[in-house]
Amino acid sequence: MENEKKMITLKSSDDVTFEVEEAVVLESQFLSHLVQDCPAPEHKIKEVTGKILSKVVEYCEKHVVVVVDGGDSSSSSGDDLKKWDDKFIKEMDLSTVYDLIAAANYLNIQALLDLMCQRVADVITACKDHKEIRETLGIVSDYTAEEEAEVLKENEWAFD
Amino acid sequence: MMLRRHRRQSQSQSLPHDVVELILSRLPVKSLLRFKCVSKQWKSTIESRRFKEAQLRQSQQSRGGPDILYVTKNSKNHYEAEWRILLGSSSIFVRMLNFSSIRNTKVCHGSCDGLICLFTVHTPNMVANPATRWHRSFPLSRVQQLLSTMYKNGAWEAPNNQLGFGKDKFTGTYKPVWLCNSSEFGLDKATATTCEVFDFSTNAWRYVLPSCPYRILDGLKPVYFDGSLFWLTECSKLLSFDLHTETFQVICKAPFSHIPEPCQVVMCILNNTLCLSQRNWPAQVIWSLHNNTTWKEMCTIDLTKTFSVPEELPYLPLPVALPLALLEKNNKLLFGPALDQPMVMLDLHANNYHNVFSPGGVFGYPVSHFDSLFSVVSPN
Repeated sequence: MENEKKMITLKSSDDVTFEVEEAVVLESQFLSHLVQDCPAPEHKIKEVTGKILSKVVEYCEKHVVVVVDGGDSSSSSGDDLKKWDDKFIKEMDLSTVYDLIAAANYLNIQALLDLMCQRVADVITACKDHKEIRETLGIVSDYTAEEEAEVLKENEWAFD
Repeated sequence: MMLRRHRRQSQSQSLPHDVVELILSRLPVKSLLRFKCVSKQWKSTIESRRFKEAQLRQSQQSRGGPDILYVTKNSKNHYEAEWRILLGSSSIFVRMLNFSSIRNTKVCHGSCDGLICLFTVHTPNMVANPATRWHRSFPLSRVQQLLSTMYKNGAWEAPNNQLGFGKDKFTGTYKPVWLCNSSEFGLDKATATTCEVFDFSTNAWRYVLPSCPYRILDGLKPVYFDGSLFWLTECSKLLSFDLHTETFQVICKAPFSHIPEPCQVVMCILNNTLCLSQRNWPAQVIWSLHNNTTWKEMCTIDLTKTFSVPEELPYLPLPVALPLALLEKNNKLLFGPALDQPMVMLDLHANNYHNVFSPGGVFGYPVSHFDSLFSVVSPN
């Protein structure tokens, strides 16, 4: 007997729809509660745009634990998954990463959140100083020159 | 946690501040100190209590195990050497920490929120955060001062009291606690023990009344766990001191019947559980406490496989091995180093031992530790 896979439709803030298997949706803590509490076939996610939701769905489809015919439970092997993750984040610009972090946090997808935060953390760590961090992340300093010198002095040893 | 998304799409190139915290909490403490220079907002985030807690939680969850601080007084600098030791899939840092400015320094067992506490009877005590290099000294307790006088008068048989250091979980207040048996100091004979607590906000010690009605096992380091400090009594009972209510309570009997020598027992925290370990040469058993009532035997260390016994000094008391951490999904136990013995990893399944670090003749005390941004702030 063939197992009918339950499909669920997710609709983004800008009304882009995605039809996904229920198992994929369960990767998100937020959505799995939503699906349980409100068994409608379609769910609108007002907080996430279509562009970002497509990335979320792509990630969850890759990471979902697949039940293969014959009863073997397996997901993509750890190494393959890691390679896939690396490629997934490499192709993304920072503003997409930020939006994806916000979406992963909202939808409560811990692994995606960790992956994305680590990506920005790596970018920050690669900067040679706080000036480069500001440039890379588009942050405008609100310190006066004196204030900045003072904070630098307080933490001088950490710059060794 | 829901994120507010009030920002406009046109600004999406800049990093929204609500995700800054999530990202920064994944960075090492030393980097965070540097990044206070990025902006006022980053500085105030990094210095907020909420962020400090998130950072500590993150480092406890994401790391394979704690760092090991090896507190010593033999080398030249305060913050000298560190080694990364790869242990299978995880790695630990061993860092030498030197406090040669304090004579005969002792260290409280373990670290609390990344803070370590040092004590002696000659100079003021000190609480320090090795990751941020923040430190603050605090005066000797009244009993410490009595001890100091005893030592000056040449009383080498003076009690071997140990300081406890922990946190009131409800208020977030850090408290050093000095508990000792009264009679050795000619203190109030009506109570078996005398207890003092240091208050960082008033910079003064105060007595806790009533103190514990049972004499404690002198020389054994108290351990901090989940808002309480723990000691063993002379009648082999586990004693707790709630750092919020400041009351003592007998929890249960120790898993051994006779009163052990203090140098043969050690308490520790493994895998978020209070553990007790007793050396009975050549074996050392570790028990873990469950539901505050029952001790379960966790494992036994065969000391002959790890410690070298100097044959010419058979009378030299070998130290009890100090269990430091369970690693690799609780399959491996890290313990030692005590005196100049090596730090050892015991594979609990394969039952094999290997030395992972040798302090190389340096005497010190290992402390299991996670880097944090915490310090002791006194409310103004």
